[in-house]
Amino acid sequence: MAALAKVETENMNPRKTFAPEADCEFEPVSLDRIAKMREKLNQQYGIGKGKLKAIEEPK
Amino acid sequence: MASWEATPPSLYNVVTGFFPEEKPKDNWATNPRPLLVCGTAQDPDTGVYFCRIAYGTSQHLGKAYESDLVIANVSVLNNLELKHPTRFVIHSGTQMQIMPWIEQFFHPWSGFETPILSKLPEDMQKHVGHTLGRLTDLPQF
Repeated sequence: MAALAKVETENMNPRKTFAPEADCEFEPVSLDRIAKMREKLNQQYGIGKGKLKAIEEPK
Repeated sequence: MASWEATPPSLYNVVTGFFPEEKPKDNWATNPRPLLVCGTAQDPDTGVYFCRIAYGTSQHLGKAYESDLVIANVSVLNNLELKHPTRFVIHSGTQMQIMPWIEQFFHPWSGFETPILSKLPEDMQKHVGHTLGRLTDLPQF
């Protein structure tokens, strides 16, 4: 998978320009950190209590 | 309040923001990363919009779960405004969170007026929809 990805990016359209931020390395995130943030957000905004009204959900 | 906060992203938009933290602290990444919108909602009292978010990573693509969305095709990456192969982590709801669509958590990349970067092509939308539909731990609004 990683080798294929490398080949594909080497053949990338040279005329395509990207935002400079797109060049960063985005690391995986630990489950622990996600859980902590989720708990904090849920508490702060009342998420998961039926208060928010869904607009679009995956089918 | 940023003007884009008044318009929510759409399901399967790729957006840019801080995950899992909010606007960066000194000892954390300063760059908003690509995120995938897996659902949207609104607080009827405040009007604030919320997004169910799966995060993107450009590392360890070989360790992706089968149901993760791995994007490596150059043409697709170009269309999505992504420079490097990216994995959106969607194999478990424990990897996601619901975030308010506000500038404390989302930030445009240079050259973009809003944090909305692009939208998944139809075939990937189907894959993501199918995967999310089978999850039993999807964060609920």
